[in-house]
Amino acid sequence: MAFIEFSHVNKIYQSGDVKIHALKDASFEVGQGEICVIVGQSGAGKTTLLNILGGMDTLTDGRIFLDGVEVSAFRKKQLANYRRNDIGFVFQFYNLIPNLTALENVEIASQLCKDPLPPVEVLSGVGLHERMQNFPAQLSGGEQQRVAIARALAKNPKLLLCDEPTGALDYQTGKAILKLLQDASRHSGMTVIIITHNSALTAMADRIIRVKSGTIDEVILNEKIVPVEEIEW
Amino acid sequence: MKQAFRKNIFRTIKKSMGRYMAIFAIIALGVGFFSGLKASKPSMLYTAQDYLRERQMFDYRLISTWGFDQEEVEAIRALDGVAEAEGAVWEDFLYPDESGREICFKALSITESVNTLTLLSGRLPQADNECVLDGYRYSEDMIGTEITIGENNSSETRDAFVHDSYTVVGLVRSPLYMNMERGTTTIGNGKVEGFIFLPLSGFDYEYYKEVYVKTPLEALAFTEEYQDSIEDGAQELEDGSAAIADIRYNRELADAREEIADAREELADGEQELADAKKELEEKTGDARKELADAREELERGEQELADAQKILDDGKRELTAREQELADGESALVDGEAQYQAGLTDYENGRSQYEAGYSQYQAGLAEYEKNLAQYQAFLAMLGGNTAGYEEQLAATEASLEQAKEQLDATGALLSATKNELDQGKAALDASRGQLDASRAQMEEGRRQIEAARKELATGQREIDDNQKKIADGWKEYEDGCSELEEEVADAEAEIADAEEELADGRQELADAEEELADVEEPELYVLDRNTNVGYACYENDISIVEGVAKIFPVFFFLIAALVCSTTMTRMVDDERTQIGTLRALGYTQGAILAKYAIYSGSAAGLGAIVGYLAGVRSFTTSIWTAYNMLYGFSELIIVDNIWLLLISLLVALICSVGTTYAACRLELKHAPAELIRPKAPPAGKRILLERVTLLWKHLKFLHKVSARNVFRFKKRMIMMILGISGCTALVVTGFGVKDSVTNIVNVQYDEILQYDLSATYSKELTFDILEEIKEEFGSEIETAASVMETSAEAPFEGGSKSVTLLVSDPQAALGDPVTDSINFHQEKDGSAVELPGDGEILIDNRLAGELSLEVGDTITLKVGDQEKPPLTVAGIFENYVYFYAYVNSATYEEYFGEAYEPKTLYLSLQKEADPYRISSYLSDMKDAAGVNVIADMRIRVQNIMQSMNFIIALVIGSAAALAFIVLFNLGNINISERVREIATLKVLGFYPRESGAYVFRESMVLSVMGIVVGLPLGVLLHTFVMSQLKVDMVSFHVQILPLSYVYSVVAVIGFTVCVDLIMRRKIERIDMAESLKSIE
Ligand SMILES: Nc1ncnc2c1ncn2[C@@H]1O[C@H](COP(=O)(O)OP(=O)(O)O)[C@@H](O)[C@H]1O
Ligand SMILES: [Mg+2]
Repeated sequence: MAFIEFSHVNKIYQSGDVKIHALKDASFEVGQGEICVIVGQSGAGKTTLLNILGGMDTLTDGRIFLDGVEVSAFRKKQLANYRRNDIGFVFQFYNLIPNLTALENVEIASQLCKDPLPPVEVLSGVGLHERMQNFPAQLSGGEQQRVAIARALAKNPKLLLCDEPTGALDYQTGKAILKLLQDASRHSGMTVIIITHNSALTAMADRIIRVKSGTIDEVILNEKIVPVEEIEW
Repeated sequence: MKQAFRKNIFRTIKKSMGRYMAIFAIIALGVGFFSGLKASKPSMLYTAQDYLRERQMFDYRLISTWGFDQEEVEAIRALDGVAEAEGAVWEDFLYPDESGREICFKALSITESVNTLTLLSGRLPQADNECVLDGYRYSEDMIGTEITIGENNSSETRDAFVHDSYTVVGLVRSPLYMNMERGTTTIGNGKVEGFIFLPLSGFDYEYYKEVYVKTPLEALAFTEEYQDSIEDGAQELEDGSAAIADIRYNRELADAREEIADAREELADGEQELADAKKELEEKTGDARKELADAREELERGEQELADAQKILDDGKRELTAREQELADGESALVDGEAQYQAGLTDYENGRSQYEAGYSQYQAGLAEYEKNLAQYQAFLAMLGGNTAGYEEQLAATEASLEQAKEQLDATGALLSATKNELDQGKAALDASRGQLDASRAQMEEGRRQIEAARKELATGQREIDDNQKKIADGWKEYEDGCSELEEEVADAEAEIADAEEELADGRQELADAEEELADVEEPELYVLDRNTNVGYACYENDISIVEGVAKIFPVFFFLIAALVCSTTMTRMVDDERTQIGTLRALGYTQGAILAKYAIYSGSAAGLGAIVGYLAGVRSFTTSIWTAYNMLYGFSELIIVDNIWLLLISLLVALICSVGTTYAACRLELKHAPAELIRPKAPPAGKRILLERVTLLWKHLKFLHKVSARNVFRFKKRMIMMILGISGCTALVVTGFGVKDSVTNIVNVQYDEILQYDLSATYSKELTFDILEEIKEEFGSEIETAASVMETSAEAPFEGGSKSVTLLVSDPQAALGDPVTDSINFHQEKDGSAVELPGDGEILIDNRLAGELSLEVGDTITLKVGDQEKPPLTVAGIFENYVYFYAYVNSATYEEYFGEAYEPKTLYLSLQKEADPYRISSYLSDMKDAAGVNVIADMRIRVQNIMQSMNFIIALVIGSAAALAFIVLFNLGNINISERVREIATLKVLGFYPRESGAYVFRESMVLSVMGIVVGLPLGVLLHTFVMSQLKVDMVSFHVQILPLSYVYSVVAVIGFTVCVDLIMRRKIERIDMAESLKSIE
């Protein structure tokens, strides 16, 4: 059984009379330690997919397994535990807590889980050793995203989920962030799922999942993995 | 306005109904509270005004030392500025109620044109022995019962009533008694318990005691216009009515003078008459006496004559008797003679017949002899002389014949002698017969003579008897005459004495009348206005409690409403920042955008104001009136809508909403549209001051650090939160404080100040016997017994007067225990004892001191009835909360009040276990017991008043709590909605709901604590202010907040926070992570 398994997942948003079928019979697998890139047009259902996988949202139908455990069967409390111990999230808009310093933002996450990585080390690892005592407002977007990644990594999660981590960043910074993610995966064997609408980035992935209006269009195993530094877009 | 724009507003409202409702609710609550409280007093005022107008409450009440007669009442009615005047009578009396307790009642005459009664049930009196009863204090059960003028009433009191008892036929209210106060009186225990109204004809009166006057004034009661007009008119009325009263005074004075002159003249006449009468009497008695003496003399003479006549008559009688005796003797001699004669005759007859017989015998013998002789001779012859053989027989026969011849011859001789004797006897007898017949004739003659004499004598006697009777009659007449005269004289003398006495009386009377005339005082006239009526005077004062509350609380409410509007709208504008930017970019003007939010908040506030006004005015006023109903139940509340109040409320509501909206929008609109489209940078994190204290900071838990920093991150929200919480705390503290100040006075009053448990009043002065009796009966149950005199006095001050219970006791406590055992006179501040006052000094309570602004050393002038007493120096001020009390010693009382010190009241302190009611019932049953008060009952009565106070406070605090809740809820809501992303992030990081809740909750807890810290002193201030605004006439409050109340307040506020947080937790739980984190809109 694969590390991550989606089988016939359906997600229907119901707002009023309108039903939006965000995911239709989505099935795919992701292996452990893989870097998986999910691509698709805006509104295709990428975020929905990721949120469900990350335990932030529930599915309407189907099953999801992570490391042999059925995530889709979790109750609220279990989902919280799941998010707490198994998942690291990186958002497009960083979502740092503005009132906490970079270090504290990492600490607040690391304090939660069972065997966290030392926050200072993690922050140093993302190259923010000097800026640890800065508040988010005092950091640039890239730096903030690094803090966000550090926050996710410090929890030492089984799965790192990143929803358009470079969406709000300029090209160079985005590249650096992706590099960071690739390195993290490579060094610690962490499974990383990155959402992007930029198809060029698929080159860095082990597995590429194309989503098209709620359905899994195709799943491609990348034979020729390109380091981030070499990708141009 | 373009349709799309309008749609946009509607959609916005629909979308953010919670926010819209928050503004609506806070404004509705604020306005409701404000207008409700504000409208309460005017409504209650108008209710009273309407009632007083309808019931024709008097404008002036005239009292004169001379009373008024009908003519004067008419004259007063005819005065300028008088529309109606009506005389009235009243009388206080003791009424033994069903339980046998003797209570004081006031009986008043029913007036037709002023102070008209409201009939609650039954009917109005039709006969003059019917009455209607105090409907505030008594229930329908009383209808049909009798109100008896008790036997213990003075004769004057009883004389004032036509009947001894009056049948209750109905229950009424009178505008004279708007509240429960019934005033004081000089009788009984000095406290009037209720009133009855009787027809005027039920009173036996000479003059009206008072005249009620109504002016044509249109101004409503309690208004300044009314007060001014009444004050202005008083002097004129006083002058006018004084002039009227003077007419009678002068007339009566002149009458009295004339009467005195007449009387003097009459007296002189009387004296003359008396002298004449005396003289006449003397003359008359003189004549009568002389006549009587004459009569006596004559009578005596007559008597003498009669005696003489009697004597002669008696001589005659005696002679007659003698003659009669003689006659009788003669007669008896005659009878003897006759008898002798008869005997002689018989003897003679007998002798004769004997003689006859002898003679015949003789004859026979002779014959025989002759025959025998012849025979013998014949025989001889034959024998012719042959005589031999015969000689012896012939010789015997010749001898026998010879013997017989001799015997015959002797007998013949004897017979002849006897015949002789008999003839002699016959002659003697014949002679004595003649003699006897002669003496009989003589005798007959004598008898005839005697008979005549007797007849004569009888006539004489009869005459004498007649005369005697005449004389006796004469004597009787004389005696009668005498006694009649004596009687007449005595009568005349008595009459004279009476007349003399009368004259003396007349003289005395004259002297008295003269003295009186000299002493006669001019009628003293008092013009009193409604302010002297307790109900009227207290009413405005009492309903001002609400006004006091209405002063500060609404401001508080509006401030908070503004705060809520401001934060809500700021938040809204922040939320819709990008939309604003878009609209601006699309070409909408700043004004149009502003208009959208102004319309949004303005419509919510406007609707809130209208709904709040309508609901508030109605619900608040009616519920407050319900509370007041316990004190003032004179009519149904008339709710007065005040358009200005509504307009002001609307205005304030709009300022709160549109104003704050404008302020919020202006900030945002200053930015360029492009800037607006971009998300607003959340407030930057900052180190806080606390972090500098590294030692402390280091020891803080990580999440606590976060909270600490968060608290200070949202400055505005922090301030709002602290304001809200502190306001809420202040309100709660005030609420509890008011309760403490209000309820505790009952304890202070009845545990600390009044130490006695029973007060028993007697109709007579207390004696050792009474004390002994009680002590004997209850012995150890009674701890102390103090004898005091309780009396009422008025303490006038500018703009009114207060009824004071004046306590008088003997400082030596000759009877029972000292008064200080029963009442603990101590200072309010530190509880230190207040010494009993010396002569000419008085102790007053802190309430009176407050009302009259008196301090130790000042003087106070008390009034009893209408009489002003000499001023007394305030020697001390003691703590007291219920009624007004003052204390003087007995010497001061006697000297300054000019009345005897008669302790009639007994204060009894009992042992803890003793049952006061059992003792009370015994005391009530004692001889001369007039009334017994159980302090526990009083306590309940005061507590009831406190409860009506508490009601208003509860209303206020309840509203405040609702307000606080809205504030907390709103702030909590805003806090969460502002931090949705942050919370969502934490949730994504794996915070459990409890943890993410705590993350927010910890902050609000910290803010709550800060709010409480600020709120507690604020509460103390607010409490002080509120207490200064709360006033009830009967009681005042001990301004204090008990330590426990702070605890309660803190617990309550934290409870509120927790409550709101619990609701917020659910909101936090509902935050959709996926949704919140998508992007920044
Ligand atoms: N909470 C939601 N309610 C209703 N529809 C939603 C919700 N979230 C996403 N959708 C819809 O589901 C579809 C997929 O959205 P999403 O997963 O965000 O797309 P992507 O991330 O690929 O741009 C879209 O059509 C979007 O409108
Ligand atoms: Mg997306």
